[in-house]
Amino acid sequence: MTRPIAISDSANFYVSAERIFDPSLKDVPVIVLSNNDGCAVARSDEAKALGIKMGEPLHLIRDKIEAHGVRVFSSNYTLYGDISRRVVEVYEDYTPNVEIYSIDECFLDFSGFKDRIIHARAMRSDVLRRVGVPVRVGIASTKTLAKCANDIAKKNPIFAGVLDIMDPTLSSWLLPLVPVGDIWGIGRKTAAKLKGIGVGTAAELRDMPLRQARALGTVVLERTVLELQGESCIAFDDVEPQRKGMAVTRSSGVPMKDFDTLFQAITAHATRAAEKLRQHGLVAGTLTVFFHTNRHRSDRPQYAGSRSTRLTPMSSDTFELVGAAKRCAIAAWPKGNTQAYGFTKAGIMLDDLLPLEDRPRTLFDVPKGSPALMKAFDAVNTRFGKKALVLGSEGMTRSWQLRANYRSPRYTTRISDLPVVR
Amino acid sequence: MPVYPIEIPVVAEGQIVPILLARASAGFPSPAGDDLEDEIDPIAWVVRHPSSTFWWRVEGDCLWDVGIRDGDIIAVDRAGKRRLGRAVLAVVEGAVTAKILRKRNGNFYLAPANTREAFPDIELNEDSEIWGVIAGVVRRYDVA
Repeated sequence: MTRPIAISDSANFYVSAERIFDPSLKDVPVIVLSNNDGCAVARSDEAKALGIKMGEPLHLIRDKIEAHGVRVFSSNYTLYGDISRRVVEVYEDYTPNVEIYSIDECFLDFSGFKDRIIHARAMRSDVLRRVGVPVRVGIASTKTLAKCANDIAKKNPIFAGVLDIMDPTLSSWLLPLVPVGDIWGIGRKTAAKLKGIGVGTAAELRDMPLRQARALGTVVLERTVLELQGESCIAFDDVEPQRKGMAVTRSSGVPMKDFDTLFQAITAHATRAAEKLRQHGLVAGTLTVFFHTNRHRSDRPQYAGSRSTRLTPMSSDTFELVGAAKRCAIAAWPKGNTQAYGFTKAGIMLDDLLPLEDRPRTLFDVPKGSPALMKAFDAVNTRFGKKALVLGSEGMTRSWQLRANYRSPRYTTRISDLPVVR
Repeated sequence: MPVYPIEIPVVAEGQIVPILLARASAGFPSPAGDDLEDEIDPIAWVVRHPSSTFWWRVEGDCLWDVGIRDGDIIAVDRAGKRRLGRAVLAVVEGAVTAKILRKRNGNFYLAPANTREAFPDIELNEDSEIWGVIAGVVRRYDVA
């Protein structure tokens, strides 16, 4: 039996989150910028109508912003995360099985509900009433088809935000209208290849022979074809897959020119990575440090450094990780004319993660690090706020921190940032 | 120290709240000790719907008569029922305001609650909306 899968997502989620607390943003063009205020990553419908493209760099749209009074925001992930959490809480009142796909998209198991459309409409209006974010719901027998339905509902107001294509008449009417490039998992290259052999719509892709799909685009495309036929290949995950690796990377607000500044950023990232490990009860076996200059500035000298090291024994100790990161950073630091480079990105990657209790031990393992100290470290930072206690090597000025010149207040998570009513 | 029994049961969300009636006496273990479960959490008592409750800071005294003052922090429940006489947050002409929801000659309007100072009534039109219902107020005083 096929299981109805819904996907609910918010169009222009970041903009919707900003609009909850600032009604003056209603009906005016609004954009939210990426990390470090680089480019537009969320646009209100009004901003889209002005021709501002997804990913367009800020410095190329300054004129448009001035001319049309576009309201510009830095990304406020603290706010978006809190709003997202609230939206998921509402979903959980409507299905026992929610799979978070991204900050603004969730797959929902809709099996067992008699009238799915009424159920989805009630959920949609409840999210709007309780949290203030408009969402669209697509329902189908597979994730790929549900994504299609969601996309159609988003683009065509006649569906009032909810579309169920479990009904074959409806899907056979709509799929010929969906361009192949709009399908979940079809990239630009694959779309071009498909168009080259006359497959331009979702319906045409659905009817493509499986063997041909595999030959053209490997198993991934074959799976998409099957999903469009209604055969579920991308499972509804009941359990979160175990994390095998993690990364903490950030762009820097000001290019980092000397080792000390770079190492401050790397210390902060390694500290954060160690905290995340301990939160999940994991230890890491490999640590990689990397940093590079801005690849889009071909007029400036380019350098990319990266080094990995084994962590023996495997560890989640902040001092151990920062120490290992320092050895890597020194090894990767450019020789020669080092002042020439401005590093705009640095990061830490951890691989070979295992639960603490499964960590391999050898006969002559010398215990390094101090679990008690780390416990105290985490307790202090939980009680007195993030970064209450940091390693000295993280520095005090944090010039490497992100640029976020237009960030709205953290309305829902900081008492000093609460919205004001008169 | 006398203890007065409460005659009327205290009801919250349709449930009777048990009131602890224990005498505090010196030199003798409190018989109530075993009944203590959690720290008192007034925030949880104010916030009936965590996903739809947001905190705002109040500026001005237009709701003084209902106990809301300049500088207070208020919990606003977007899922709260919009009823006449309730203190609400409303969006009027792009600004958010806290007032009492009232009705006159068939029209909804927002009224202040302050007999000491004059604030204007605000008529609600089709563009205005009720953002949420005020669910509680938190105020603190200097202790230093």
